[in-house]
Amino acid sequence: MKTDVVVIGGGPAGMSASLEASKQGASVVLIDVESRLGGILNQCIHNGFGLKHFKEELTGPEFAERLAQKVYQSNITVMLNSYVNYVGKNKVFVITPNGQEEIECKSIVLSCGARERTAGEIYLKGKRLAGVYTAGTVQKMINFYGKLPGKNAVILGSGDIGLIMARRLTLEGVKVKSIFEIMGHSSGLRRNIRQCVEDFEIPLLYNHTITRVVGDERVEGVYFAEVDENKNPKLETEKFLKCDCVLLSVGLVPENSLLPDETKREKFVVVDDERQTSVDGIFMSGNVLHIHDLADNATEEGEIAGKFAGLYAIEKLKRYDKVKVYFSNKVSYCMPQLVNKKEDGKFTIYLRANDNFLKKYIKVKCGDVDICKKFCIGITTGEMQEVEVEYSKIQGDLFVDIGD
Amino acid sequence: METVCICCPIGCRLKVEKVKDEIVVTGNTCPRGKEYGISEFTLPKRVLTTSVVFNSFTLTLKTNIAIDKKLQKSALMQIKNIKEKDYNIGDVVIENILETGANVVVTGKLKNV
Amino acid sequence: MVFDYAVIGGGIIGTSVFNKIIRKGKSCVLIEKELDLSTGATKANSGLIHAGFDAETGSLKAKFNVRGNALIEGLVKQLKIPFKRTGAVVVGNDLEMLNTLCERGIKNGVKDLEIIKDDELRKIVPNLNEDIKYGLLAKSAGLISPYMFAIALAEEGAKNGGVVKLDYNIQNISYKNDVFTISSDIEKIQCKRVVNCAGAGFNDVSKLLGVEEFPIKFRRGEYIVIDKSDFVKLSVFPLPTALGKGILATPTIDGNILLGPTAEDIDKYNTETTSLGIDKILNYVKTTFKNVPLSKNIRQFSGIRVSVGEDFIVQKSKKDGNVVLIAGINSPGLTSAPAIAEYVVEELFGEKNEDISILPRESYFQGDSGKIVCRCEKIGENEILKALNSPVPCLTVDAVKRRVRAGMGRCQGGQCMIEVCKLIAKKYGLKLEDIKKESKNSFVMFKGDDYEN
Repeated sequence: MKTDVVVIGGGPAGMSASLEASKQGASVVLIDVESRLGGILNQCIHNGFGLKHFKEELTGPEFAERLAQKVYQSNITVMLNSYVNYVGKNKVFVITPNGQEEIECKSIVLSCGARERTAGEIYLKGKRLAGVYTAGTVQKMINFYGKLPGKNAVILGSGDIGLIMARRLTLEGVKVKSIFEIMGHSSGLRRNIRQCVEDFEIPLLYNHTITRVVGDERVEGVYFAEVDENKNPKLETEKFLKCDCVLLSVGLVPENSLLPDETKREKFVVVDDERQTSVDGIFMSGNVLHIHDLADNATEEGEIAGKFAGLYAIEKLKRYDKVKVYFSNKVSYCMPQLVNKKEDGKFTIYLRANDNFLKKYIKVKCGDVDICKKFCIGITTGEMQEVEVEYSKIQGDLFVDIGD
Repeated sequence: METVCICCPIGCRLKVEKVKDEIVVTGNTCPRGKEYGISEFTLPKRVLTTSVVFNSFTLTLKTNIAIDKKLQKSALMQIKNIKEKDYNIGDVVIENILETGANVVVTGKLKNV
Repeated sequence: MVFDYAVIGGGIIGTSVFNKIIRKGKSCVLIEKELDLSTGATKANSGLIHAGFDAETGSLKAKFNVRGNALIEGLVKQLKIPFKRTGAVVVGNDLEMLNTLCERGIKNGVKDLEIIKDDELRKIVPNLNEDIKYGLLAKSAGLISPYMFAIALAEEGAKNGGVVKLDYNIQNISYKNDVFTISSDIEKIQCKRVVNCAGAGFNDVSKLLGVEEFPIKFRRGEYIVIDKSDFVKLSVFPLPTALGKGILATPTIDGNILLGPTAEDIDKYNTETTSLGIDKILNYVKTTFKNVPLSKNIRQFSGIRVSVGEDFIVQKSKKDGNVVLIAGINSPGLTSAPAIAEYVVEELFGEKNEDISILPRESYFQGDSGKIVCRCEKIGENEILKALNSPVPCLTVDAVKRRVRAGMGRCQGGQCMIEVCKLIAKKYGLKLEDIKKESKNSFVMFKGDDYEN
């Protein structure tokens, strides 16, 4: 098979990338491993999606359905139940239910999302028992299959999926006995703390972690303890809590194993404002690039990657000199890390702070000049910030800082 | 009272007070925040979402408007009792659930899960 | 029917003996109390085929290790499971001790041993710390999947008329008119001869048989598993100590890296991982290696090694000549298994006829994989179905995982576990809430309360 653009992953980023690439006049093949489009949105049955992108509050499946309908109304070729095994130079190797297929293409958008961090990655101690699951696995268990992971749950980590699941479990009759967060603050959205945790009076213990999971065949309880400033458990504070399942909400990891080895990486894969990687013709968007708080943002990023992947494929992508985006130690990372020096228009820098700040400015400097300054009432580590920058103001490398 | 607005991901920190006979909301950055603050002060409401698993498909559902948050659990119980029928996305499954004025609407239908 | 033999214990020893008996054309039943084979020591070890320089010359360990190593190649070919002679190297600065090990190896009959240093050592272990000078290279060492080895041996045996009984809880064993009757709550199995290779449960079985019991000790070894990497390309051991072969860094046959094991004497069978153990491994690897890919750490586990004194016990019971006792099988038990099986069947039971020709086992990995279920390890539905339909029942999530590696990757089953449960449920006509992770009560999920349409 031959096409202009291959988009890998049919979640919000992949669908919007396909739509934008197609709008540029490129032929598009959209590949997803699941039997339906939508990615993780299908299991996120809660509301709170779409306010930014559709200007309307939607649930995950509704958000997915809106994009999917557009995809099916366009002339994008959709390959479902298909797994991309390998990405080569202008080629994508796919395992379909009927055998292997090779797709020749001019550009590729990787939008294959992220996976959840596991018990092993955080060195969770104890036996390998039934009843220890990532929050997303439990989300699928309950929302798709109507099954429960246990009757008395403990949640480790306060990421958004964990918070959402705390509410879902409680409403389904599972007692959520406690949420433990090793940091001094949650990595989830404030509104989720409010409506998922405080609404149901679930104890959320900051600076605490699980030291051991115990049980014979299934989980029968956990030992937990307060942690010191180095995040090591203070053993004298260790206590036992009876429970029969443990949910982990300890972060997401971009699933970018399909990238060629030579792709340039820093904290995340390095992309420019068009979301092109250091490998010509490979673009990225959504959680495979960096973890988004909102499907709306992943969708926007998909639109960027898709647009330029489409232009690249039909040989209409202009080349510019690039500048680098540096940042201060108050910033954890910026996306993108490279910017094309275009003459006009605007682009957005997404960033995460290293700490919580009240009433500060996010500043983008070029040399000694503040080319952009945005006032923020509150900045937290859990919430992605964004600032818009005009291309015309770029003279050289950019520096992003948080200050007065 | 102080609370966090749940209307959108910004999560504005709201202060809601009764000044004479009027409920005054501060800290909001949009009209929805004011509305939310007043409702949170008088009768806190939430949109309820859930799913129901049938033999051949799973339905995901929501209340089209927020309902009294104390009624979430009993509303859920009633939703769980709906019978298998050929529903489509957007269909109203239960009208005016528990007299809240909210309809329960199909948000997604997942076949062969 | 009355079986010629019953083998009690479905670890690598039991499955090897079972397979060998079938190859002699005798009838045999393999009895396992858990829901799958290889759920004890066999599932949680380093997966190495040792060269044989480590064991005391003249011991059963030395004899069976060297013979087992030689037998492995022929076996894996017929079983269609992967095996690689990657070699192993013991590293350290005590040249004298390395020489002693080398000499012992030569005495034990190990071939292809040499002391290496400098460039040669760094070439085969590029990530070794600069201050480590020497290595004893044993080219005949290799890698195998220990559980897949056991399962494949049992599958081949089962395909050729052997009977595998899982979830068989022996309540009583009686002996009358030259026939043993091995009873569970619901079933009786009759046989003429019995092999007790029940590992950690050896004494329980011996008690029922009324034969010798031994003082069995447990030693726990913790491991860290790292996602696929070329950090080391062969097994790298430190110099051995009184507690064992020490913490090693080894590739697995599937491309992962294992760091471990620790060695801790414990009173009770307990497969917990501990902060102490994991920290010990982390501290050790830093003293020996650079560029340890710890950021790709995906799991930790611990395995229990049993021991009865220094050497293996492989003998006929002095109280009953129709019973063979195999106990205290720790390292190099995996390597020794084919040789122990050969010795038990041919020497102790006197089945000296040539092996008969038997039907080969079928691999799960022939033909199209079908829709990919496990994304990390690229395992397809067809492969899982083949495992589920193989001659040995595959009943649990972990049983599927051991056979095809679904859930072994970096997401640790986060994405495929429920899919695997669905396939098992479909195969056996069960509900999702009936599916177990590993043991009898390890239910993966429960049915939702109050509603069920």
